[in-house]
Amino acid sequence: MDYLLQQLLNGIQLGTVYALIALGYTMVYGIIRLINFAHADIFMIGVYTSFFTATWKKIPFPVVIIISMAVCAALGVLMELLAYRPLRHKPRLSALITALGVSLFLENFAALPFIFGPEYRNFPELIRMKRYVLWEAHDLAVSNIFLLNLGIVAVLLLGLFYLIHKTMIGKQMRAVSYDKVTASLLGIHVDRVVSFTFLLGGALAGASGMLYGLTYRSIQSPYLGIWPGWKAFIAAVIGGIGSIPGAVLGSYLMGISEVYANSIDSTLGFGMAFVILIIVLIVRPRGLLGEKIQEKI
Amino acid sequence: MILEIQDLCVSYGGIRALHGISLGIEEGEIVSVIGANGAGKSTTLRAISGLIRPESGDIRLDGQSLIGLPPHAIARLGVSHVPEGRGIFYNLSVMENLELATTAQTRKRKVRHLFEHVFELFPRLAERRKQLAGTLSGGEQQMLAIGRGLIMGGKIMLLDEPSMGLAPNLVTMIFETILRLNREGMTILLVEQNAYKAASIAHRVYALKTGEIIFSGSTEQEDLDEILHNVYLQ
Ligand SMILES: Nc1ncnc2c1ncn2[C@@H]1O[C@H](COP(=O)(O)OP(=O)(O)O)[C@@H](O)[C@H]1O
Ligand SMILES: [Mg+2]
Repeated sequence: MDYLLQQLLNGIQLGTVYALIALGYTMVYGIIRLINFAHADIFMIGVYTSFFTATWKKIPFPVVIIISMAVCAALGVLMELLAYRPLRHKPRLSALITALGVSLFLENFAALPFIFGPEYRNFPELIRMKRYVLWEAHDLAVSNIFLLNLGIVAVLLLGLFYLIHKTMIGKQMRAVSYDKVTASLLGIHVDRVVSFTFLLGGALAGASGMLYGLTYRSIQSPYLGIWPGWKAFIAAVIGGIGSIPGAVLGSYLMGISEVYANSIDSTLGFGMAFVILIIVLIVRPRGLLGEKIQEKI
Repeated sequence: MILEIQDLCVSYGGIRALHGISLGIEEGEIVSVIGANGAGKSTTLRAISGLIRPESGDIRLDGQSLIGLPPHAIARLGVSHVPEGRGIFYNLSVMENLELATTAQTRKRKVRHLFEHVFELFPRLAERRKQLAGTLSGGEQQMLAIGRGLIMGGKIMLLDEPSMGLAPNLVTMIFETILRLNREGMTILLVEQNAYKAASIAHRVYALKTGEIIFSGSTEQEDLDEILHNVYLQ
């Protein structure tokens, strides 16, 4: 029982990392129906950006996260501009294959010895870990880093929700995702809205990269984005690709069930993602919170 | 001429849809383009608002060529295109649909006045402003589409089959609204299959058949009914 509760908190922790990545997949899919496989590598760049800014000078934590978000936002915008925009009106498969190519490029480029290099690194201890006992009888405790994760994800999600629903650019994003042609007739600069979506997705992946480093403290290699990326993508599909609340829900489901599966046997975690995916897709093909697929020509 | 089209040719993947048509609209006019399904009416409007690039010919708004400009730029120059099928964003509220149209509005100070105007024209929209636009009836959706066109605040409104799929009383209501907007100073290019109705409110008519203009003239001519009849029987 005690152990299960503690694992629930660990699952929430992992879900937070996935959620911030999954949002980028789902928003980009919502706006241009592209599964941006290279999104996982934006997250990886976020981890390294945080690492280098944090080790370079003793930059305080809030500045590190802002730099990581800014670098990843810029990378997202650049990726769309150079790789995907020229293919916008080509068959969708071209963009999908390009996304795989961009992903391989970023991973292997980053692994070059004069870029990030392939070696393992330790993420610096930006914040000294403290434990707060919640429930002494059951030995349940949370760390300040866990609370910081939750706080940051709450702020980012509220900000995102406000942006999408209350601001003009958010309304434009929803309009463009529904019908680009009519949006352009109303004077909406569709390309700019698409860029902005990549900017948002990138910034959130950058925040995730920072939190990943801060929490898990280890940087395996420039290929570290692959698995969190896949799981976040699957979480977005489970939640209903294109749905923002769905991506968050799917991510927490994924994080929690992965941690529980791992606690039974440490090799079960990987498989768990697919088990949930298959079950959800059989029961509800559009995902938990996904809308009916409306294809517009 | 507020809008002038010269020798416009448009093709879809090598198949000609418009074979060099020319037409013009004076400020303050209602001009109707009529023709059967597939005649090229929507194609003409799509070429004006930049959704398709013409093969040849010119389109000028107040003397400025629109050829090669992207749709959002043309919208901002003052072309309010209310598209075929209405183009309502079902996933947004009525109010949000209207608000999006302010993107094209260059005189932001006029916006509040324009919203009041729209809600006065269509009180139904005011009642349903918070509702998702997807829940509106066909008639209300057409009101919303025209409302958006008004809020764009353009110099000319392009209306593509606003009566399509509506009950007769709503068709009458929409045509009356178009007349009213015109009296208030809006220049209107109306495209319709509903030829008699469209001709009855227009100053001038063009009849389009398989991408060519086969008739054009003022609706004051007495034999218009007969001419339209011939156009359709040909
Ligand atoms: N997207 C398209 N691709 C290919 N052909 C098209 C397309 N849109 C219209 N056409 C063709 O162009 C011609 C004119 O169509 P359109 O302008 O839509 O006619 P109307 O609006 O008068 O009914 C028709 O023959 C139609 O089949
Ligand atoms: Mg048409």
